[in-house]
Amino acid sequence: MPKSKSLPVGAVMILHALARGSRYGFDIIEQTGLTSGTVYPALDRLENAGLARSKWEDADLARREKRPSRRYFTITGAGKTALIDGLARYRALAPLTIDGVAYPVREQTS
Amino acid sequence: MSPKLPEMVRALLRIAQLLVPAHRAASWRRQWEAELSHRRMVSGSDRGLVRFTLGAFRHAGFMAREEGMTMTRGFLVDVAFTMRSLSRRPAFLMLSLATLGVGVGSATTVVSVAEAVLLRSLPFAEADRLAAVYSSNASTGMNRFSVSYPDFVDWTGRSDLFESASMYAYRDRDLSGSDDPQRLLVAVVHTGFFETLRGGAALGRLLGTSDQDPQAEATIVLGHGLWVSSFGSDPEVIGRTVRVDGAPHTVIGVVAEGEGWPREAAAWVPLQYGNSPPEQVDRRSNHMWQVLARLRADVSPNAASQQVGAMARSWYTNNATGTERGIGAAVVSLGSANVPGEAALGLGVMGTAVLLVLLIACINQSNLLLVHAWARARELSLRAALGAGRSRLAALVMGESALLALGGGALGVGLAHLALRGMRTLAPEGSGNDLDPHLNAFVVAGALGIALMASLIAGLAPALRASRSSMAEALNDGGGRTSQGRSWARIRRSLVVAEIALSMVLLTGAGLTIRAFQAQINSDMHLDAEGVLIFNVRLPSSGYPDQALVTQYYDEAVSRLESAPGIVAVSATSSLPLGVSRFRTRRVFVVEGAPEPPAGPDFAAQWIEADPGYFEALSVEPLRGRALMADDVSGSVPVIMVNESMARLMSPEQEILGRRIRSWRDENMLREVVGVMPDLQLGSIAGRSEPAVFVPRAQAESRAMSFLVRTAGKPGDAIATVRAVMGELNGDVALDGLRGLEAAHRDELAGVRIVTVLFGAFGFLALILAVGGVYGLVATSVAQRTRELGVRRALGGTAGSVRTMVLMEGGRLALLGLGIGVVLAISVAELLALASPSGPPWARPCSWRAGFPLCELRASVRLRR
Repeated sequence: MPKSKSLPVGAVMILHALARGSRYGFDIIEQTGLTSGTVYPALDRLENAGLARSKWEDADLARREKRPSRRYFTITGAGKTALIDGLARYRALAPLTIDGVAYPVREQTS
Repeated sequence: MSPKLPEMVRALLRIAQLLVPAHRAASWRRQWEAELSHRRMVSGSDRGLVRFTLGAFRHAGFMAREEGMTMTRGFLVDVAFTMRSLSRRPAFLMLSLATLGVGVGSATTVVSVAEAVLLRSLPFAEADRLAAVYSSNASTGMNRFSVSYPDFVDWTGRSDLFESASMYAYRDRDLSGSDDPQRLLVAVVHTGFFETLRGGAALGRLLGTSDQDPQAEATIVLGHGLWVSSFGSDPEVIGRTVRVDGAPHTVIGVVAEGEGWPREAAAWVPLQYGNSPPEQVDRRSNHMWQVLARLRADVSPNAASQQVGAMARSWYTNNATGTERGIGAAVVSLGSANVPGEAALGLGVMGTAVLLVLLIACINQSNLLLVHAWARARELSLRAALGAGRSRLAALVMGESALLALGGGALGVGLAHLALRGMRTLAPEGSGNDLDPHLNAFVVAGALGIALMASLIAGLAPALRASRSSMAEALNDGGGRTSQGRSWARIRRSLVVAEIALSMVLLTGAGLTIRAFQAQINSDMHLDAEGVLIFNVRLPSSGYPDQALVTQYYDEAVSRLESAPGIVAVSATSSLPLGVSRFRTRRVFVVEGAPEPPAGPDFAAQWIEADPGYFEALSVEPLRGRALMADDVSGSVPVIMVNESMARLMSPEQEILGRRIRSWRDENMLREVVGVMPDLQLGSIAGRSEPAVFVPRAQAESRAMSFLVRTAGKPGDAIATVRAVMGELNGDVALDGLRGLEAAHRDELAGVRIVTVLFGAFGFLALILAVGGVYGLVATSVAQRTRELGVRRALGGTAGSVRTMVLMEGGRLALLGLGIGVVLAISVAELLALASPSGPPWARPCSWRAGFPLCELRASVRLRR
């Protein structure tokens, strides 16, 4: 698994979501708008690379709420470093104007 | 909304789960169920749920790929582990490598030789469609002889079988006009020869239809070798005039290097018959042509052979008489037409021997792997206990087999390399044997393939056992006491018995071959070759234009040699004994007063022209009557001597002496039979007597002659004398092949020697392998039964009784194997003996010819000229 320097934008978005408190797949999908087919493999990949960590929810708690126990993901220290690197890299894409439209679009509205 | 997931979603999950590696499937399923139920809870509806579930497939696929990578890493780890574990068992490793090495090595050697003989490809376009067409005769047992012109026209006229065809004949011709005048073997070819062959020209053009015209100027195409050696590769050679037997011929082309056919031909001249060949050629009884044909793309040589054969047989049965009624035809692919039947049989015998060795090696290997797997049973069970699946265990065992196979295969290729080098040194130097067997990529790949197949097949039984083995049983099976231990032992015992039986068969074959070869060497040739020198001369027609001068040369040579010191007897002759002669002539004879063929019987015999000194030179006395004498000259009564076979053939009841016989068709002279000679050995192989006649050279005409010289001392000492005398007579006539008759005969038998040596070596190898197999069996069985043997000792068994028991076990197997082997060997030997007419091989070892046919190769090549 490549280290932070070459993290793809999807992985950065997922780490970002984890850092903001999302804990499982569906949450992250809601947050990022990525598809389920992207997010679940990516979570495994992040875990293999040591950027995220997963843990099964306490079975008793799940049983009390009458639902299957969930697999919770959290960001690791290495994940945070990689996230900061990644954000810096994508932020370096400076605002610019193409065909009369300024990017990022948010800059224009603010 | 029910808490239960919709049926559709659950079905999708079930399918996707199939992709997930088994040990992660449960947690994967749990995660997805949790995620899906959470999504339904949060969004409050099932909208888009199916699409969301499709992501499960990508997730599962990702996990499968990841697992695949782990497996590859695992494989490499396994290989390293296997190598380490093998190196900890050096005895097993070495035995196994040696077994496979020997098996593969011998197979590779024989395949290389076979490849050199059979598969040497012809350099022509679509050469697999080229074929040779021969006459055959079922009544006389002759297969593959030349074809007559009318037969050629009838047979190759079958346009449904042949695309094109042509014919040719070999002729000895004097060629002058080059750097040095010489006598060459020239192919006289019919129209369409080079079109059928599709060979190329290095210079100029090849012979075409226009050259066939009797009115056109005579043309000649030079072989590449001749062009290089006698014309200094002169590119200006086209258009030059050379003389062929004195007649001017214009050089029109040079054949491309290596693309000359027949290979022995030095040059090609056209048959200038035009459309109607002379009457003599147009006779159906005049079998004088070699036929080259190109088969149609959809016709196999076999199919053509059947069709043409049937056609020929029906013509001859209806129109011919006597032995000619048996004439048929055979179409043989040009590649294999190069190989006489005897050589092919020799290769067949060798191939069988090598298959047996390979089989024994395989059995041995299987046995070794079984022992090894038994020793590994605990390890494998442990792996199974730790979660390794059946396929995984089988793969582990098979992987080990494959690794051994690669090692053994490499060893075998090395051995084959050495063996081939040895064979090249065994073959006589400069004997004209152009076989150069060597390893090539094809053969090496084949050998490794064989090794892999052999080892995998051998490893199959152990692998299946390993995959099936029950953990508890294997872990408990400490001393080979359980049913499983016993069943393994049973398999291995039968393997050893099979091994001994097979090596018995091989040893019998080897023994018979060696005995037959010994018999060859020690057999009575009815002549004494020791102290006899031989050589050939070729008189150029330019210096000796007429027969009188030729005869004068020979007379002078014989009388000068006879009076030279150290020389006892001399004869010029048309044919040397012991298969040394390049040319042999056969003629058909009729007895005076008897009805002539085709109505009457015809007797074919080898025609030998000789001087009175011939018999003294070979130390042969006539059985009855007298030998040829000095006063049997051209003016006196024509005489002839016959050998015993001929006497028996022509006149089985009456005495042949004093009767007069005539060579049918070739001459009208009636010759009186004055003597009967013993069957002195004419061919290279003993025990194959053929009818022969001896006529005084003075009463016959011949150009190409050989000399027999009996010397008083060692033949080597007389060589200088012979050279001096012959050089004095005419220094321009080269002496060809001046050497001892014994040495020449030894060279003739070189092929037999190779087969014998190889066969013996294979038998020996098989024996070693089998002994190794028995040793391995007894050794492991003792090792496994240590506890049992200890108990026996403790209960009062003496060391001697225990030893006897162990020995008995091995001995019983050996006896069983030997018994089966003897029965098999006898039936195999009987089978081989069927090919020879004179009974089983142990009764008459000489008759067992199957073992030494290679020596016939060169003789037959020559005879076909």
